[in-house]
Amino acid sequence: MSALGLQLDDLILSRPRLSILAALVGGDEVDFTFLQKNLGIADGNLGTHLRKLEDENYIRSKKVLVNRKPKTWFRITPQGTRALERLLRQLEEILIQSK
Amino acid sequence: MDESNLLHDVRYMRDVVARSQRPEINRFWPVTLSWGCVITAGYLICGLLARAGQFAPLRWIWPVLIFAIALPLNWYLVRRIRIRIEHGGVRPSFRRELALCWCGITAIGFLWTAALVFSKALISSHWYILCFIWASLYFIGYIVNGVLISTEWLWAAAVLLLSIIVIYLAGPAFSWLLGLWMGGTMIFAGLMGRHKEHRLVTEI
Repeated sequence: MSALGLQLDDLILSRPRLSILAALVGGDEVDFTFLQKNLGIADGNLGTHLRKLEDENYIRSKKVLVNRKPKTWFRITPQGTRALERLLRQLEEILIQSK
Repeated sequence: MDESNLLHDVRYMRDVVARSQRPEINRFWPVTLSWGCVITAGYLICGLLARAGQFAPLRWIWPVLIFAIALPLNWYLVRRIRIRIEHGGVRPSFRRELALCWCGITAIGFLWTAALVFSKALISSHWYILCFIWASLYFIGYIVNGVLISTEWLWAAAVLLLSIIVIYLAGPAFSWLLGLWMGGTMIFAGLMGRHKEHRLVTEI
């Protein structure tokens, strides 16, 4: 990557984290099960990736009780949206250069 | 992630985005339908009362319909639909842009209505202007809905525009039909939304 002279965001360059942000970029809040079902990432891994993204303030979580059961909703932050857009632009540049 | 995997990863990500984005359907079509019914009923009642020469209750029709029926029904339906969507693991975010658009439309509509009603000379001879003002404002709202929610609103906008032109050409005597048809286009958009949602569910 560095050979191409681009400073790519390592945190979201990982495929699971990239796909989490891609799944959230529409703006709606989604729950853990939805992400698991649509991204096909194992329980523990998904939790770790979500935590990393939350630590960087790319996503925000909100815990609520639904029928006395805890449920966590995830939502992308403006910072996360910007990071994803920046990375997409950079990836597109790479694709254009490689043609 | 190295360069050789990049193309594959971009494709994968596009697939994830496609699967997880808002479907281009109006899941809140029952709300649209309910507003359509209320607006149609409102214009129908006003039209019938005016024809019968009963002008006194006219001023109460819209406040009663909006505050006693439409808004509580709106609140109830939105709540029910949101709960149903949340069961699928998605919590729809509040569409601020849409809310602002319709608040703006309503505010401008009410201002024009108030201005025309207070200048009694104008309203007594050109009362039908109100129907055209509201229909024009709705048209803008439908276009915004078409861009931000789903395409059936663009069809409703086209039908409404056509009705405005036809009823304008037909003359002021037919302008009450435009009022009825405003609600009619909402019912039309609601039914199309219902059809689209059912088709999507069947496809899945």
